[in-house]
Amino acid sequence: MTLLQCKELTKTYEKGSAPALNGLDLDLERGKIIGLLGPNGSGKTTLIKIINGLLVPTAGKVLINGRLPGIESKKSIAYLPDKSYLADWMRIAQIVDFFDDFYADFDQQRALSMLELLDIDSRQVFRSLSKGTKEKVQLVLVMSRTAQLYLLDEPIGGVDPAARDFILRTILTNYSEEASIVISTHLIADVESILDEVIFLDKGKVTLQSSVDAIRSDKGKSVDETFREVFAC
Amino acid sequence: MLDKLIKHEFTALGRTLIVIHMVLVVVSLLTAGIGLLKPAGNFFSLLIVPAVTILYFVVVFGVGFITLFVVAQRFYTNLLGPEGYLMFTLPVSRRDLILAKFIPAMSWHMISTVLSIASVVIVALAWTDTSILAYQLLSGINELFSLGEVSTVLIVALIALTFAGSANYILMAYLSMALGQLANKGRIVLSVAIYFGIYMTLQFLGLIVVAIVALVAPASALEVQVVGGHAFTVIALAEPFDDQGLLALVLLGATALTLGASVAYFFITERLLDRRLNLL
Repeated sequence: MTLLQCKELTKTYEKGSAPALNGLDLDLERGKIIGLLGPNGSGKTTLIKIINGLLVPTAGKVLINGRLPGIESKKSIAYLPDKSYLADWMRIAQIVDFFDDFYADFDQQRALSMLELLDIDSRQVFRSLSKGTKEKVQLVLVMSRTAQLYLLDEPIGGVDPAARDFILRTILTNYSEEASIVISTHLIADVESILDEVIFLDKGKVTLQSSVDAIRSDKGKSVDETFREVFAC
Repeated sequence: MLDKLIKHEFTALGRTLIVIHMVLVVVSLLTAGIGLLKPAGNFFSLLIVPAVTILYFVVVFGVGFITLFVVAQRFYTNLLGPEGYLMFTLPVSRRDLILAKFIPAMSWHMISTVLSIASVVIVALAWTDTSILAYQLLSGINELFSLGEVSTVLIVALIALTFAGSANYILMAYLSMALGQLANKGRIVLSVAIYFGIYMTLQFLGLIVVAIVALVAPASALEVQVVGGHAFTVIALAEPFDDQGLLALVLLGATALTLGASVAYFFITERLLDRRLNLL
């Protein structure tokens, strides 16, 4: 069964304004790492929020494992937003307990091991962490789940190059063949090496969905070069 | 899952509300202590006693408002702010999310009410015969008990109305914020405006009810008063209080109306967060 299906998905924030998503159709299969790429305002974050049930589409629908977003889909989706979303007064250990309480697929031991590897003391209060460390903690929590679909919105935007390598390694080593990972990012060159497939979004529509290998063989260019060419200002 | 949500909510609310209620206890004990010791001298009578009295009034009247503010703020930051990205992606229903906010909020409101009443009684007793404050507090209590044999039904009806009123305020705040989040800008201001809009509308409707009752009922037998802060606590009080059964019935009627409104607020809030969630 297709893991994710979007049918004629449309989202307009205000009447009269341009739609953030404009009749978007999309099918995603299992076992792939997919780059969701597009310029600012192309609808990447809106799409991810709708899949997570954080926004309601104006028209069309999204199906995860054949079901509309709901309690069942949330059991199988691990989501990393593009902002700090954890209660900043909590200690990291408390947040780990919180995830353990609510997600049956959360591996507490894996989370604590990764935090230790990153030299992050779980007794620290979340608000006391630097922006980069907060992002690392959030990624560790998300990747410590054994989800079917990981939705990572700008996972490497705010961290240094060394941390980026760690994050990409973490992504690669913590997903199964049954799962897919969608990475929304502007930093294409950094993630290109781990991507199986790319989706180009523009003005709320899919303009390209292709395997990375096909882009390289057909166009003789990298995904980064192709992106720059397609979205040249 | 609801039990886990409630557990985490109690922890989160307790961070602020335990401190606030500790302040109430400490200030109450201080005020009662001064009343019992009756220290002599100008320093105490001209400076300390007025200062402690003012502090006491601010704390005892402020604690309820602060509790309501804290639970409303908690709902907003945890569900409609960035933390909502986590809460609304947990595998739990919207109903459980709201209930997990409401049950601890209501519990804290009850704690706040009980502590405030206990505080007033203790301070009033400690200051007996020594000040105008004590006189006023005691006369208020005396007035309550001058009803004569107060029936159990009447007391239960009063308590039920108090708690229904608290639930109403909390759920009205939730509804206002659920409506406010529909806007893309100025959500907090809009939520506050909606809250006071609903409040004023209900007050107005309440006054209409009062007017109708006053017109229908013989003026000599019935004195109509508005008791409490919102329209559904409109109580028709028989004057003199010679029919406690009728009074209890009226109180229970007001409670039922208040609960009915509260249930409506709850389900509208749930529907808004389910069908019209707009996390930016």
